[in-house]
Amino acid sequence: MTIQDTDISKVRTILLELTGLSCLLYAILAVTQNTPQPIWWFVPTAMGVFTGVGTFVAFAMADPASRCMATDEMYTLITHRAQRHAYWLFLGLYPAFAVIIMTTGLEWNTAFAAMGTLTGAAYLLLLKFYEWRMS
Amino acid sequence: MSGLHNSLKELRKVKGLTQADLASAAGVSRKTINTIENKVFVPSTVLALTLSKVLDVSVHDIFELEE
Repeated sequence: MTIQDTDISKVRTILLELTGLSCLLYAILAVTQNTPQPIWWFVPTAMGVFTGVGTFVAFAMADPASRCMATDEMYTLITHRAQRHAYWLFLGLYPAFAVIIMTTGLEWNTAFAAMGTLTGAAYLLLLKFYEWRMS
Repeated sequence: MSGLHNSLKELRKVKGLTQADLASAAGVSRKTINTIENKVFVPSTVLALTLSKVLDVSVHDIFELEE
């Protein structure tokens, strides 16, 4: 059984979006509850691994032409744009969390947990956003 | 700076191709063809030349600078 490039895109988009949302949810819960482990610590990690495996399987099931079509130049452009903007968002987290820690008494451990998951969420959700905007 | 006008949609229809057919022949996704036709995405030189080859026209017939 082989799948088409559109199927790869659907699987990849859904999985990356779910992982991004799980990272964002983890960060929000960490900050609002002021704990570095608001839910099971491995949830974002497990989602990331699941996404990696799922995407790999989708690509493995497709023929070479479909793989190329699913990673064409527009997709490359979108991923590069998301990487560039996520990088600046990540840098912006440092001053933002410095202010949050000073004003709310947020624990350092919590801040690092939230910043780590927000870094992943920023890239994954920006990727989805730009993909949606280009369609 | 001038924008890029393209006649991809018209030329594709003249050839009787769907977006999916053209995408498959050019080795890109249907979404990419759609965004080129809607002037959301400007293709690379390689893709522009590939499209002209698939449609059997000059690249200048597909793309031209807007005055």
